Amino acid sequence: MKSVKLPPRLEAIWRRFKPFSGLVAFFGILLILMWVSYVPYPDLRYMEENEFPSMQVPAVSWPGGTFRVSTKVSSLLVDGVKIIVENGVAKLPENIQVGWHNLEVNGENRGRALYVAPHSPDNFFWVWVSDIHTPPFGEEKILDRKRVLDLVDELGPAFMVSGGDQTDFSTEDEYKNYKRIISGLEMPVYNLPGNHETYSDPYLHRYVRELGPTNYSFTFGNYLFVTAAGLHSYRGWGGFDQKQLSWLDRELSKPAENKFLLLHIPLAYYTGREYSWVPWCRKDNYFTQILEGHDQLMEILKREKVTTFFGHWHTFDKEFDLNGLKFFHSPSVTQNSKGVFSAIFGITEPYALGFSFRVVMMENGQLKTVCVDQRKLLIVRENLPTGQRIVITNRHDHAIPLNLKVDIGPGDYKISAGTKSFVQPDGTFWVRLEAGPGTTEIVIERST
Amino acid sequence: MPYWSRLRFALYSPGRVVTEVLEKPDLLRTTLFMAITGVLFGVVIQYTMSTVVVLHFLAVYTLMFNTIWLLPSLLSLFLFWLIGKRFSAEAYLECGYLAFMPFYTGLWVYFLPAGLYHYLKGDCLAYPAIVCYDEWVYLAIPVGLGFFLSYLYSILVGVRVAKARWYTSFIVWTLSLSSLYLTYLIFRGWL
Repeated sequence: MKSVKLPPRLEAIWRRFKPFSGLVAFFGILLILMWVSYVPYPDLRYMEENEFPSMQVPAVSWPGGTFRVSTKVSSLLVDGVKIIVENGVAKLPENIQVGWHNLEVNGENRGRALYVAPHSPDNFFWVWVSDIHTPPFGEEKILDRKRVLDLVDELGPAFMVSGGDQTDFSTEDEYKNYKRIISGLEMPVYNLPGNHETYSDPYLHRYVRELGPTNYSFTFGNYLFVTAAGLHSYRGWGGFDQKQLSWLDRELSKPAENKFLLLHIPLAYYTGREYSWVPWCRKDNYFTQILEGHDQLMEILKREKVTTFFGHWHTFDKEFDLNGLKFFHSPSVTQNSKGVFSAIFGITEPYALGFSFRVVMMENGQLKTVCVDQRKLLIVRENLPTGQRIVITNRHDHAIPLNLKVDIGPGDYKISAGTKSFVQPDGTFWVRLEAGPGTTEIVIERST
Repeated sequence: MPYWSRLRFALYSPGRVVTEVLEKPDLLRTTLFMAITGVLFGVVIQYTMSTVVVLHFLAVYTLMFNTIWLLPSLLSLFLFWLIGKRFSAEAYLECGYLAFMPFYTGLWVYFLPAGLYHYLKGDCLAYPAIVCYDEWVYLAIPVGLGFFLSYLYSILVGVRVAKARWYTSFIVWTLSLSSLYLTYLIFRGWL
C-alpha cells in the first residue's frame, strides 16, 4: 500500500505531535466512552393509583381503620369479605385481625396486599432502615444484616421503609439474598432504590422486577408517605427531572396531617461528607446531593411542610433543621469501617459503625425519632410455665419504643410493665412500652 | 537495554530509567502500556469489588487511574516552562508516567491478592472489605508508600530532565499535586 505523503509543514507538525498522540487518543477515547455509556435517568416506575395496593406496595391500616384506594375501586374484598369503599377510602371492621390479609380489588386478586398493624394512627411508630448493602455471597455478612432486620421486626413497628442501597451492586444474587433476609419479617417492608441499585442495572429494570415500583405513595391514617428515586444512574448524587417533579408535586399535594418524603440521596444536610469539596454540592448554608430540580423540590417541601428522610452516607444520625423544614439522615444497617471514615472524614458519630436504624414515633401529630444500634439492644424471651418473661437490655442513653408481640396461646394474661393492646381471638396481644436505658423486665402471667 | 526494562527499573532504579528515557524516549509505547494496565486495573477493581464489570465504571476508573499521574505531570511541565526551563516534553512526561509506577503497583498489591483471597474464601468482596470491615489499612499502606515513592521519583525527574535544583523541583511538584483536586472532581463530581 502506498503511504500518504504529507506536505512538509504538516509532516513537521505530525512529527512533533506523534509522541503525544497516544495520550490524546487514550484520554479522548476514555472521555467518549464515559459519555456514551452514561445513562442519565433510570426508567422509573411510577405506581398508578389503581395499582395500589399490591404485594410489593401493600396498604397498611389498623383494626377499624381506613386506607386509601383509587376512586375507581367499586368492589373490595378482604379475605373474601366485602368492605365498604367511599370516595376512595376503604373502611375496615373493628374486629379484623391484626396481620396480613388477602385483597381482591374490582375482581382482581392482589394477594397479601393489606397489613393490619397493631398500632393506632394517634400513637404509632415506624422504622426507617437504609443502606443494607446485601452482598452476593458471604453468609456471615448476610446474617449480620438479618439480625438487624429481625430486631426491627421484634420492635413491632407499623411498617418499615428500606431507604435504598438494599444491594451492593444490584446483581441477581444480591437481590436473592436481600429477599431472603426480609422474607420472614412480619411487618410490611416498603422499598425505594438507591444509587447502588443503578450500578449494574442503570435503567432499574432488575430493581422493578425484584422489588416493585420506584415511585409511589401510601398512607397510614392521616399520614402521607411518598417515595421517590432522585437518582442519576451510576452516580452518588442525583436529581429530579420535570416529570418526576410534577409527580412529586401532585403526590405531596394530597391532603394529610403530616407528610413525609422518603429518598435515598441526601437533599439537604449540614455536611456533604466526601462531596463537601465538590463546589456544586454546596448551597448557602447546607449541602445537597440532589442537584437537578433541587430548588423546585425545596419549594414544594416548604409549601406542603414535608419532613424528609434519606440515607446514603451511612454514619450520621442528627436532625437538620432548615428554616423549619426537617431533614433526617439515618445511619446504615451495613457495618462501616470506623477507621476509614474517621481517618478520611473525621467522623465521630455514635452510629458510625452501622448496624443501626431510625425509629420514628408519631404521637398526636408530633414527631420524635431515635436511632437504634442493634448491638446495644437485646430482647430475650423466656417461656415460663404460666407465661413468658421478656428481658430488654438497652445500652443506649435514650428510651426505645417497643410494641412486642406476645403469642403464648389463649388465656387472660397480666403484664408487669407496659400496656396490653390489640388482644386477638387466639390470645395473641401486643405490649406497648418505652424501654429506658438499662434493663427492663416484663413478666406476662396467665390469670388463674 | 530493551524497552521493557525501563518499566522494571521504574520500581527500584529511577535514575537508570531517566537516563534510559533521555537517551531514547518512547512516550507512545509507555502510554500504550499504561493504557492497557489502566483498563486491566479497571476490570480487576470492578470484579473484585462487585463481580460485575460495567463499561461506564471501566472508563471512569481508568481515567481516574491515569489522571492521578497526568494532571500533576502536565501542571509541573507548565510550571517548569514558566520558570524558563526548556527540555524534552516527551521525555519528561514519560519519566513522570514511569515515576508513578510505585503508586500503581501499590494499588495492584492490594486489589489482586485481596480480590482473589476474598473470592476464594467466599466471605465478602473487596469493596465491603475496605469500606466495611477495616481492610482499608491493607490498601492504604501500599498505596500510601507507593504514592510517597512516586512523589520522590517525580522530584528526581524534575532534577534530571528539567535540570532544576532539587528544591525547585520539590516546590514545583508539591504545587502540582494540587491538581489532584481535579481528579477528585472527576471521581466525586462525575460519579
